[in-house]
Amino acid sequence: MRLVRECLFCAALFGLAGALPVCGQMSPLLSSQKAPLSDRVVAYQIEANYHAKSHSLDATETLTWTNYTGQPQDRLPFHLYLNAFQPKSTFMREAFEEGNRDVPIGAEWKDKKFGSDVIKSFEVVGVGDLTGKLRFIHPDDDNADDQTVVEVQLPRAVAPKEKITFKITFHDEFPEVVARTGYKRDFLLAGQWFPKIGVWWKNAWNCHQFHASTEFFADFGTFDVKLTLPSNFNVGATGVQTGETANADGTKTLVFRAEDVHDFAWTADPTTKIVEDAVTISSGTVKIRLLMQPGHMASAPRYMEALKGTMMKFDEWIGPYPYSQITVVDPPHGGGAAGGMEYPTFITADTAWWMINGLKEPEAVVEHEFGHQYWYAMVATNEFEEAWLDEGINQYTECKIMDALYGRDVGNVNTRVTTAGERGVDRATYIGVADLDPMTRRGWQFVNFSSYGGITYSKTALVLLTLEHIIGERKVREAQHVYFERYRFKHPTADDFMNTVNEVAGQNLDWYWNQAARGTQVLDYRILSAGSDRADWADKNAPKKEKKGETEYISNVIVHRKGDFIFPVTLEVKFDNGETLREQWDGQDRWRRFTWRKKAQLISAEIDPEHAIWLDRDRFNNSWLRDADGHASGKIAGYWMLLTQWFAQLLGWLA
Amino acid sequence: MNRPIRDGFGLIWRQQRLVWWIFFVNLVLGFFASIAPRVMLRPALDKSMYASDLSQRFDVSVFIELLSKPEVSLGAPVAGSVVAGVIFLFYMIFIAGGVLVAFREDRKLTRGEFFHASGEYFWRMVRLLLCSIIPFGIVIALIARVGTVSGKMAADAPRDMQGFWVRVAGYLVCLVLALFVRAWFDLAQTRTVIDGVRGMFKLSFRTFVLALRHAHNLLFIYVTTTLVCAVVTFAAWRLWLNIPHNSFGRSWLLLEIVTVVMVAIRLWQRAATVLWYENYAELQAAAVPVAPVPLAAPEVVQTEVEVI
Repeated sequence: MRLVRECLFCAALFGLAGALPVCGQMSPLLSSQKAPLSDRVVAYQIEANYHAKSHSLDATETLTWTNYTGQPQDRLPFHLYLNAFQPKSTFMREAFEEGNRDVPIGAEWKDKKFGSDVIKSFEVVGVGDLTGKLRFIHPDDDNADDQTVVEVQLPRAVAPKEKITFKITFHDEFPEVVARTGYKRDFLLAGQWFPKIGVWWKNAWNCHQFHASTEFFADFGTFDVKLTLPSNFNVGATGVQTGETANADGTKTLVFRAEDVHDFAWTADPTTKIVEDAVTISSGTVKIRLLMQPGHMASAPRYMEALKGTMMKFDEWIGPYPYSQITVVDPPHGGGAAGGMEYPTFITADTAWWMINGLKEPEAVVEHEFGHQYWYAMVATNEFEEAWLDEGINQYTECKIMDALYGRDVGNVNTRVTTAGERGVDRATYIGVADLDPMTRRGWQFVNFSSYGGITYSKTALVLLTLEHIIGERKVREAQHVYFERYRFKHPTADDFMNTVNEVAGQNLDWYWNQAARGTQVLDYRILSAGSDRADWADKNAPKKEKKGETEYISNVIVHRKGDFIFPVTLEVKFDNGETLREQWDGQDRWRRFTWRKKAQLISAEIDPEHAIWLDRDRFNNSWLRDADGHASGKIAGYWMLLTQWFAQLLGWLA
Repeated sequence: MNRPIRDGFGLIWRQQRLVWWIFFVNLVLGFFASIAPRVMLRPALDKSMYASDLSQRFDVSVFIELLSKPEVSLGAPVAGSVVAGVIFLFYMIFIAGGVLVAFREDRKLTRGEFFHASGEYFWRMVRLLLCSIIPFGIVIALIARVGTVSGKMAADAPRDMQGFWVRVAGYLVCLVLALFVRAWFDLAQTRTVIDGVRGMFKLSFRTFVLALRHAHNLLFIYVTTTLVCAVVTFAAWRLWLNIPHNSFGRSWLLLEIVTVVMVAIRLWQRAATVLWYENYAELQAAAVPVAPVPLAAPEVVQTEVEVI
């Protein structure tokens, strides 16, 4: 039945595709958006010619930058991200030492991973050629070989509110796909492919080198991009396509326009199949464009269903999506390094031909990357310095939305053999690195990549889930909504987020933020001891036989704050007469003894009976049962026994 | 006409106490190996309500949490299982002689006869095991190579599933090769017992030639029985998926039945090989020309089975 349902869904998708408007007639923003949504600090016009055989391009970039810094500027930094994919770059050095998503620790350098972004000429309109004035800088480390940031010294300062226009010609060499950019066979994902100006932030230039575990930060503006490439390539890009010209040399030129975004990415592949649909949300109808690999078509309905559900939930919970289109790119097999990435109005997904329904990877990735349209693309936080604000908050919303769409505790894996929910996976990722780094640490300063992932993504999600326990789920959602409304198309900071939550919650939560976000305190409460003893144990005349309901007992539970994170906790105890009691403890001291005198014995004690303190590193020690329940240990030991028997048989087969 | 698979099954049915004994030893070793994880997990799980996520269902993230506890270490349990496996391996080598004699005789051996036969052939079986390391090693290396090549293909080949099919095909070839090696050394063990051969290295080589000549017959036995094993395992897997997580007793029983079937199928392969070789030896003996009998001095001429 499920297969039939999916086939019907596919048929409906393709049927709808014909009814959609031609992309050339579309505006980058929904018609409900009249005025610019952002300050539009930058305006990029790029004409690029892609050489498919050599996976390279030559381009001309005209960048107009408006000085909103409030002071004259005569030194301007630019990112050249593709230069990270070189053997001596900071990115590769860090990846070699600590590993990252695509580069294992100690990996050998491979020439096909080489990438570069070379500026051929650099001219300031009205001033002249300044190519010779460019110099590479390395603001984050002492690596003189890193060429991911270049600075230009202007002959005269740009006055406040003055515009300056640069004409830059550059040549890109794309690597075989790494860190969400590059090629795989004929497929290309062009991300971070053009010289991009830094951001004036916190009264200074913010233009970090490309690190093994960091992402990006840029100013809002407009992008007009003309791409010339072989005519058989299907293309997807940030914004919307506004024109197409067939050229005499067998190429075509596509024109794209994007407004109020801070980056522009595109993809090209001759083999992709395009699936189109639309979803109507509060701000209007948004076109959905999937660029699918032919071998992954079975995942198209799954992507589409997840994306639509996610968009509607974001619209309901957080705020409207203002753009008229969202493009989803399905990377080819072997091109997993291109998967799971976000750019404005353009995301990459992840699946495989064998992806069974019980594995929710395609759904979770699409949900997560679309979430970045809010926490990164619109609320444009500094991903270098405060990665938790985009990745972590987004991970939290992923938990909430995957729970809502697919069910709690089964949002990641839902098979008959095993299950796993978003929250559980976050816990599993977090507990091993709980005390290593604070959430507020700069992305490249984490002790290793595991800590970066476990803290930035998972811990943040768990911190916000635990926050629900303090101020309520509704308040957390409201705080996210207010934060979004207040800071979309801006560059808020961690303090902006925390202050917004404090304000919406109507209480000062700094005690929580200081431990959970700014600190490395570990939350771990446990039942140190529990049990019931006869109250009349010293009475020689007391009857020797205990009688249920008549014999009086003194029951004790000692709750121990094992970690250094101070948090109020609830203790729930149950007695054998059916009575259930709840006790509160502020958690300030190291331990607290609870005592009851009753004609009943204690049968269980549990800290956090609602299982709402997701930050608790060890949940196994949160409870105590008078009567041991050996089902779990017996089950695991039983399967261990069977595995041993089969292993022994395998060895015995050799005899 | 000898039908090794059918007759082998009959032989196993008649000698099923061997199956039960081997299964019993396997079960006991598995039980002992499970004590370490049980002892290690009880303090963490038996008094904890959180453990229900592992008993009522099986949440893999909770299991990872469990493994990340400092007091939960897989070192001792893994070591215990490896020791159990190695003991079982030597047990199987030890009883190989007794099993083959029981199959040859097709009668219930006394305990003394069984262990006498086991002891008599033990060192020869060990030497054969050592000889088998080289061909099995080659097969294992081939499996690793198939994994590497198909893995690279899965990432780089133009078609999505090319790497997968190369892997499937490669592993199937490796499986057939492994079955051939197994049939070859089962045959060598059989000849050791039936023909009383002592030179194991020479026997291994000669048996290789014989096995190669009759590869189709032997592989038919081994592939058929392996298919039966696969079908039973697959059916059990389907059944197992329908057993609720909290009914571990039923799961355990079902999987132990599968384990018995695995033991039986392994012995079935050996029994079928014994029967095939006995039939082959008879045919060979019948084909040896009998020398003319001199009239003046009549005596019985003894023929020997040609050892190839």
